Amino acid sequence: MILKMRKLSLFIAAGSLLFGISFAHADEVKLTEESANGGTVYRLQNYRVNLLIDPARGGAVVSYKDKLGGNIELIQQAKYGGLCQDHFQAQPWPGELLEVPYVASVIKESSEECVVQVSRESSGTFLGEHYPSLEGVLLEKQYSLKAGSPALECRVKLTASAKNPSTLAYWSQNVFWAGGTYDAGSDWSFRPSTRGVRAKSKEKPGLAGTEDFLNDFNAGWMALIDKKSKSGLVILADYNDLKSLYVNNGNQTIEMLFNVTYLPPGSSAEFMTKIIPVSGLDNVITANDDFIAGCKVTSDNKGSGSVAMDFVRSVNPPQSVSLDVTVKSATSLDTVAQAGTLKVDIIGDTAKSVAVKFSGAAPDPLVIGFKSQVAGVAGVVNEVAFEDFFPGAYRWAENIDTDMSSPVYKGIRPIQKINLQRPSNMALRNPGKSNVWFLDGLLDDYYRMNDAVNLVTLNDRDLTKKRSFTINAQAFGNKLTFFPYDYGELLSFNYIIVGGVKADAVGPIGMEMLADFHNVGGGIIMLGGPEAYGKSGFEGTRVEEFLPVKIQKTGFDLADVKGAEISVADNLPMLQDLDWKGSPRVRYLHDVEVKSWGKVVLTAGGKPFLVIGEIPGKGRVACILGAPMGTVQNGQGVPFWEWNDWPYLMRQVVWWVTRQDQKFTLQIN
Amino acid sequence: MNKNIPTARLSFFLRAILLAGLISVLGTHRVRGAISVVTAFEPQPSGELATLVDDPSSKSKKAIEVTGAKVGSVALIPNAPVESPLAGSVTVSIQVRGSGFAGLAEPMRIEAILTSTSTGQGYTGYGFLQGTRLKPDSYGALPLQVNLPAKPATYSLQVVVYVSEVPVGQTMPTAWFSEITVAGHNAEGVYISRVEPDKTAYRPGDEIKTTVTVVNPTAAPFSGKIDLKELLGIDGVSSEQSGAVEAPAGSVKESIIVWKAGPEQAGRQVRAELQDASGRVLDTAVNLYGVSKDPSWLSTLALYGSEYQGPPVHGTLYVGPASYAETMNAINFYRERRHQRVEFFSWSYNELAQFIPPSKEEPYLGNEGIWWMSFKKFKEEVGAMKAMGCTPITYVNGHAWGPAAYDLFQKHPDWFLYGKNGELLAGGGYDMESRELYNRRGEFEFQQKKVPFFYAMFNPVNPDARQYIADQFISVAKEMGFEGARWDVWAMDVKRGSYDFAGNELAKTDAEADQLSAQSYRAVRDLVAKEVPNFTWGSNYGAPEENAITPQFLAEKCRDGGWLLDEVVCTYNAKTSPYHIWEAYADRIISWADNVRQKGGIYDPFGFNRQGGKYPVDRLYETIFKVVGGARTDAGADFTSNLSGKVGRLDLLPFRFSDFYLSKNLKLQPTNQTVVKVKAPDTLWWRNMVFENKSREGNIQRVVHLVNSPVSQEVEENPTSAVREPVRDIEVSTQAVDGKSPVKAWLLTAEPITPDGEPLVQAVPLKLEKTGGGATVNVPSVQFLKTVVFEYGN
Repeated sequence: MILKMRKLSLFIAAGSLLFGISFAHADEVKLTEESANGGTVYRLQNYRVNLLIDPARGGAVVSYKDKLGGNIELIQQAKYGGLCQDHFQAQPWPGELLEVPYVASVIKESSEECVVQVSRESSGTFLGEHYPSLEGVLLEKQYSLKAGSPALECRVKLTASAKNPSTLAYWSQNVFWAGGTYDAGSDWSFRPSTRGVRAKSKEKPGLAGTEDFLNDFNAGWMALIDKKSKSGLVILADYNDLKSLYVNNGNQTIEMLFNVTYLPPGSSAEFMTKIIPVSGLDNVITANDDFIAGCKVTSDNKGSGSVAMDFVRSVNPPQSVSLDVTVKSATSLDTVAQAGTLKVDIIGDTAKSVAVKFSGAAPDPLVIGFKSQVAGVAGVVNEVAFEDFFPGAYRWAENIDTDMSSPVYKGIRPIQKINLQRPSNMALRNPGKSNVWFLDGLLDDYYRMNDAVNLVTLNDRDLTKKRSFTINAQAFGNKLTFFPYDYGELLSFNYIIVGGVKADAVGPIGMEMLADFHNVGGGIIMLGGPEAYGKSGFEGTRVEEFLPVKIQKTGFDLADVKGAEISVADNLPMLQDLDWKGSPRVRYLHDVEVKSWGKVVLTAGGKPFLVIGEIPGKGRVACILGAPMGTVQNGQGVPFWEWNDWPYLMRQVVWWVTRQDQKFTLQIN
Repeated sequence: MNKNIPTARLSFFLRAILLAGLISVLGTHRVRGAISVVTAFEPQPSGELATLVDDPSSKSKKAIEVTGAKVGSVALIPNAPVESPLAGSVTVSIQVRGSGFAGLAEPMRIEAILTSTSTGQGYTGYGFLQGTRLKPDSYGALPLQVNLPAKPATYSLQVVVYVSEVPVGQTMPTAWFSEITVAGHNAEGVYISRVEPDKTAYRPGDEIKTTVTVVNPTAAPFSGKIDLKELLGIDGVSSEQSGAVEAPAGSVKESIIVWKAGPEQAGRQVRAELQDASGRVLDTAVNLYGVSKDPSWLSTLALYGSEYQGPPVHGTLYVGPASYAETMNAINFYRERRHQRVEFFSWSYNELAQFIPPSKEEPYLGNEGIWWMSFKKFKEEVGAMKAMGCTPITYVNGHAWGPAAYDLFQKHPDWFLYGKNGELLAGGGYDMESRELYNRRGEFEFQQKKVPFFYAMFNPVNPDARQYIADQFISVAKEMGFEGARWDVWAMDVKRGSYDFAGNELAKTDAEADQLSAQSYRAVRDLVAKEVPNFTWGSNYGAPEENAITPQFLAEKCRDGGWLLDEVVCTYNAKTSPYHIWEAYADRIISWADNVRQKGGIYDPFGFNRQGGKYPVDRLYETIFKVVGGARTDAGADFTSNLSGKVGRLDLLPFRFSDFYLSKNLKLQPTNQTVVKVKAPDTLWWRNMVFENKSREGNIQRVVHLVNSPVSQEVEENPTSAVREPVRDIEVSTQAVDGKSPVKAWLLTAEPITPDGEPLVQAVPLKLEKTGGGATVNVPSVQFLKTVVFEYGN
């Protein structure tokens, strides 16, 4: 290996003499301080890349050349062009961090590795708008380039001020032109998703559009490749840290949006990206620390075809890669054909190609699955699985159904591991108040929660009422219009009404924070409905842990109880002064299992309708298990949500979950 | 010119045709009789694009030269009074020659505008300068038809040439313009200025009320009669009426003649003859209408035609605001073009959840929540279409959405479909923030969002849901007057992976799904038919690729005249499509159209790119193969009507001779059939275009289409729109069929009989040369498309 590298360096040296290219020796990395625009800039180069970091321009990489990719300048835009540009999602673009001076220092300079750090403290102010949660945040960005690797590592450390917590979403922007020129037709972005790799150019964004914010990504990479020169860049990041893979307008930038992060005062979070040059690939189907691969599939639409792959090395130089290839129907997933195994040894900077044929598969569209085993230099074996959608002769030529929205095939998205920093003083901020946050979901407007909440306090003008709306965007998943990621804001509420919101809208961090809210005594009311309980996705999560009921593992947990009348199972004080003569009825009821510490207060048709529970030292939780859906027969009473006293029942449930038990105490001597 | 054609033989055929005479002369308002040039002009150009040049070949030895070097326009006649009053059909003829014009490319177009001196209203005739007409060395007439009101008035003329695109080929197109004439009825004789049936489409047995306008510009009173014939098929006269007419000197008289439509379903021509007291025919005028149980069946007539460059009118019927006058003008535009079918796209309140908005919601937020819309306006438009016989069809997006769907879902969640995990099956999901916004629609500052806040999809096997869906159609039929519906996105489809509210999968196999889809579609049809017996049905997803595993569903969609839209065709121009080769495309369109016909359906394929192929010649051949197959051509930008380039009216050909292009009796014959043979170069395509047919009298027929094939093998590869030289002297022979010999033969065409003629939709009898039990006919030439019909008997 060493011999080979030396030969390579000789070749490069010869090439450099011929073409006047500045170079670094193959087994060394070189740091040069240069003067530019009255300041110092830092040039890092090794056998493969030659780049420039300019502290005066947001500490970004303002020049980047891949010696194997034609040694062409990829960053052509004088302003706002560059790699590893910093941005906070809360601020409008360009934000306070682009094209502003950073403080720079050399952390390490050796022939094996050079590290340059740039830093800046955020003011939290941009365009006259103040963002308190960004004030005083210290951003420290370390670039590391090693001798034998093409990868530039960029580690961003964000530290909240010692006085205040911060809630921020970091955004790393890479604005460059693959191949050195912008081409709306031949520059393509590639991003992994549950629907296969989303390949976009500005000219051909496909039927789903440019999908700038890709939220159903399933791996931590993205790429921008010029198909003509077969060159470009791949960016890697930790999948667990990511919120969205962003591409501007199909192919103009590639950017990593990281998850919202809460930082207690003085604490830090780190976000790492790795930038790897690619040469010899005109598409990217997968990328990881070991290899980057492109793929071409052919099919005769009768079950036969071929899978050809091109490999180049990534951060590490793998000794070998072995891929088991399967071909399954995108519409009938049980039709799977084994295509065989692709093997390639010693993957370097130059693309290596292998191919395998398949037969006995289904007609198009197909899903090509890969399971790889990678043997590293040190004998370490890494396993990676990935897949892609192949439309072939499928009529819309991409993974989209005739409604022009739903995918034909949707794979599994791995659960992201969370990294949540909690404040040291976790406690409700406004004890005794009835501040409320309502996660308003499908059909929740039938609950008349506005009436109930107004009845709780009647005339408290300082009451905080916040509402988040749920949005179901089909393939792009569910989202909430607002989430109080700042613990200070979250803990300012006294209770939360969780309507028909789904787990993926709340997200793993959100669920953890809801559990924290409960742990410090916050009240929770969970409502039934078409998207609640069984369909919510909370089964088996941190949210279900604090519920007094166990959610069924099915999306079809609503039982038809045929308009059953609500009955009192446990005549608790919270039920006082309710007029049951209205005969509230239930048509559909979530089928749940009541936990040992749950208490059934009301039933309908023999099944629990209102279940409450309280774990000592933690918040109170009430679960409405009826769904405000369906009809009841005429003359049989009224649907519960139309019952005159329904807002009063909910008022009293609020009082209970907020521990206002005195409201139910009669003090008559 | 094919120099190998024996001249003597050619002249024989021409003679035969001339002797036989024309069977039918067609064209809306085409008149003959007291017509003459009423005014002649020399061009008086203004603008930098025109140059006055010497030209010995011009009548005046001068000409106006216009080149294609620069995009722009030039007025050949800026504004000049026409000497005589005009009424009805007028022809503005431009003497022109040109070089550098290739085939059907459209580097220049021309407009003749006659503007009423009293009302200021302009009437325009449109044309292109195309290589298929223009000669480089000699002048010829380019006739532009202008239809004027029936009452005589004075007009001024403007003629404008537009250089509309930079040249594609090697040579610069250059045109030289000479004399321009206006020909119409003169003041020397009594004439018919208009024949106007009160509707464009009738159902069998309907009363047909035709107004014939007679103009007497003379100083003497007129007394005579009008003979009115309804022409059907090639030589059928299905009705004859007669009425006296008295017209004082200088008067305009309207005579109304009434009869009942016969039972025959076909496109019709009505021909009025004006005779004087001695029985001498003074003038003839014609018009068109359709008679069918469902006018969709005859829906071939173009709304605009390929040469029309005026403002689009169909948008008036869509979401924009329109005054009563604007609406009626748009309706009249459809009427003048004898339209049979109009689909009102996405007009409804909440689609399947509730078509008609609640009365308090006027205006209402419809069309996916994008637009404010007026129910009053739509109701008037539908009523006006219906009044002229044109069948109004409601578009149906198969989703349920918006507030009505939201409330329906809340009340009846068991009426809807779910996915494997219980998620609502629908394209758009839901958005509670948008719902909150929608609830504020009454506020002054409200701005609508682009998408509805809630989508859902009905469970097609749920009986209550089926009834609800049927009730929606019944309501639009009864309250709005819609006579049919055309589904899009979803049409009671059942697919694997769909679950009911209880979590039961509706179909475990594709075959089961197909069966349930067909049953569900039929169930709604049956429920609607109980209340609205003649309600018609149409649907999308009519391509073979989309029906590979749904044979029963396809059959149900086609049954009893189901309209079948095929959108997939719009992608066939892609190089990755096997159908981007013209030969494959032709076969695909013709064979699939026949397949749909055999199932009882009406096939309506899209054009390439939806709006038609890249070049005029692409759009021409798309249209030709659709006409041959019996597909409908009203989906958009087909090359349906081109008189300038002598293609003719390809939209009118199948309408007028519907027996031979649209008949349900037509059946495509296999390519290896041996009954019919054609002796012609291989560039003339016919082998996959031979149909079996049956006459109204029950006689066997063979219909043989002759297509002069595209120059380019692939679609969208002919940027100059070059065309082949006409194929001449074609022998078409047939053997006896089932022991019956050919006894008659006709040539049907929209293009000229011979290239030097003018395009005209007509049927010409062909002389049969008997050969044993069979016979041979000769077709003098085919430029684009001609059709031979053999009829067999004893």
